[in-house]
Amino acid sequence: MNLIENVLQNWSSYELIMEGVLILSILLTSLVVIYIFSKNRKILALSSISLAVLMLVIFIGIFIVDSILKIHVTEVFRTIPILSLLFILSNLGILLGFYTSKKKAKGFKLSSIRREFLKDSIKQTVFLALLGISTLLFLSPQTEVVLSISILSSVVTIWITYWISRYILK
Amino acid sequence: MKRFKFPKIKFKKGNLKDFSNYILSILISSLILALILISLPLTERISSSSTYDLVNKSSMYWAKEYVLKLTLQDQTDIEGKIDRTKSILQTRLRNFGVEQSNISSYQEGEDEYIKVNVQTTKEKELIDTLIKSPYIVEILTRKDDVNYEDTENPLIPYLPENYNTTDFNGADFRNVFVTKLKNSAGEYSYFALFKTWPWRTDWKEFLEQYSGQTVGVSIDGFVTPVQISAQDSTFAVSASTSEDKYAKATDLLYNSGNIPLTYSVEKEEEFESDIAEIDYIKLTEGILVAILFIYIYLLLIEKTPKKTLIQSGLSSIITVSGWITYLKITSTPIDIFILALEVIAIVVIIRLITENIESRLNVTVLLLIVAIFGVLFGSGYVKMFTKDLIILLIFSNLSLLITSFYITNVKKSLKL
Repeated sequence: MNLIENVLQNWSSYELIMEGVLILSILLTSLVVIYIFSKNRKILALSSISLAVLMLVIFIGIFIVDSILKIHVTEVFRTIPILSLLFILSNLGILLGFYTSKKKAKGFKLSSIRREFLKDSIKQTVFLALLGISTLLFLSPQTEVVLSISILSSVVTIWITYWISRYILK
Repeated sequence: MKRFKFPKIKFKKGNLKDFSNYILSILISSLILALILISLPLTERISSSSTYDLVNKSSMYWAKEYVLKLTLQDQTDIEGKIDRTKSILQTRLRNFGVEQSNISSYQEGEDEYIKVNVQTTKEKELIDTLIKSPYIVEILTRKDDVNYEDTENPLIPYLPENYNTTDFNGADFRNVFVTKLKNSAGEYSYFALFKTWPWRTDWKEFLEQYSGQTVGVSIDGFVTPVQISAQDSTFAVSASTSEDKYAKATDLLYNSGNIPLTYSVEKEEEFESDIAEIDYIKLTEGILVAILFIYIYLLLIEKTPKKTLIQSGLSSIITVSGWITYLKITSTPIDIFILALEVIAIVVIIRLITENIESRLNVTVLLLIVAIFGVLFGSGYVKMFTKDLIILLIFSNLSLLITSFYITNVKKSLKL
C-alpha cells in the first residue's frame, strides 16, 4: 500500500479514476479484439497475462525511478504505459497475425507459433534496444528515462510472455 | 485543296498503364524529395523562398504555483471536500488542455491549503480564472425595498446583499449549456443556458412565478441580473464574451462540478518553466544516424531481405518527413520530446508491420485502440501523443501502400 501511495503522490480521485479508466479500457478492448481475431482462448490467456505483466513491470519501473533513483515523477511519465502498450500490442498483434494466417493450414500446431514468436521477439528486442540506445544520446534526461522505462518494460514483458507461452501454447 | 489530317495517336492499353505508372513514379520521387527537404531542419538555408521551421513549444511555456486557503463552513467530511475540490480543479485544467498540472493539499496549523502547480502554454489570464474562481453559483431574487435603478449607486444590482437568497444553487442544474445567442444590442455573444432535470417542478414553478421579472445569479459574490423570459422557460445568463476561448473557460467553470467549499488565493508565484530543451537539429541527425545503423545491422547481421528493409525504410522516411512537413506548413506548435517519442514509436511500428505483412491489420487495429482511448480519456501529453499517433498510423499504412507501388514500378522501369 505504501508503495502505491509513494508512486501516486497525492493524486485526487479524478486523476485516479481517469488514469484507471484509460488503462482498463485499453486493456479490455484490446483483449476483446484479440479474441475476436483469434477465437482462441489460449491466445487470449497469453495476451491477458502479457498485459498484466506489463502493467506490473511499468509500476515497478516507475517506483524504482521515484524512490530509489530519486527522479521526480512528472506528467511526462504518464506516456510510459501508452508507449509500452504500443510496443507490446504490436508484438501480440504479430503473434495474432501469424496465428490467423496459418491456423487453417494443413498440419498446423499451436506450438509452431512459438518458433515464429521467438524470431519476432528477438528482432523486436534488437530493434528496440538499438533504437533506444542510439537515440538516448540526443534526448533530454527526462525523455531518456521515459524511453528507457518504456523500452525496458516492453522487452522484459516480451520475454516473460515468451517464457509463459511454453506452458500455454502447447 | 486536300485537307491535312493529323495522325491519330493510339495508345495500347498496356502502354498507357505503363506510361501513367511511370509518370506516377516520377511524381512520387519528387514528392519524397520535397518532403525530405522541407522536413529537414533549417530549410531557409536551402531556399530563401521557403523559411519553414518547426514551431517549438518550449519557449511558450510558463509555470506558476498557486496556494489556495480553504474556508470550511462545517467540519464534516473535510477530506472528502478537499478531494472533490482538487478533482474539480484538475478537471478544469485537464479539459482546458493544460500540459502539466499537479494539485496537492496540506495542513498548516488549523488551516487547510491546496497547492496548484501548472506548467503550460495556454493563456495565463484564463488559467488564473480557472484556478482562482471557485465559481459558486446561487440564484437570488430581488428585494422589494431596494431601488435597483438608483443612478447615484450603480453597483446596487451587482451586490448579493441587495437580494434574497433562494434554495437554488449550482448543484440543482444538470448542465449549463454555453452557446451563442443574440443579445439586446442585436449582436451575437455567449450565454449560459441553465438546464435542470425534467422532473424538477420547483424550478419550473420558480420560472413561472418570476416570469417577465428580473432575478440575480451570484457567482463568487458578484451578481448578474437576469430577465426571465415571459415567452418560454429558458434561463439565459450572459457570459459577457463573444470570444470562443473565454466561452470554453466559462463552460468548464460551470460544468466541471460544484466546489463544496470556498477559498481565497493566499499566494501566487511564477517560476522558470522546467522544460527539457532538446536540440532539434542534433536530434534529427541522431535519429537519422541511428536508423541508418540499425538498418545496416539488420541487413548484414540479421540477414533481413533487402526488399523488406527498403520498403520499411522508405515508408518510415515518407511518414516521418510527411508528418514534420505538415507540422511546419501549418505552423503547429509541438513539444520536441513528444515528436521524438512519436518518431521512435512509428519507426518501430513500420518495421514490424512491413516484415509481418499478414499482421498489418491486427497491429493497426490494436494500436488504434490505444490511440483512440488515449484521446478519449487521456489528458496533457498523453492526449497530444495519442492524437498525433492516430494520424501517424493512418499515414504509415498509406505510405506502405505508396512504397509498395513505387518500388515495384521503379524496379520495372529500371528493369531490375
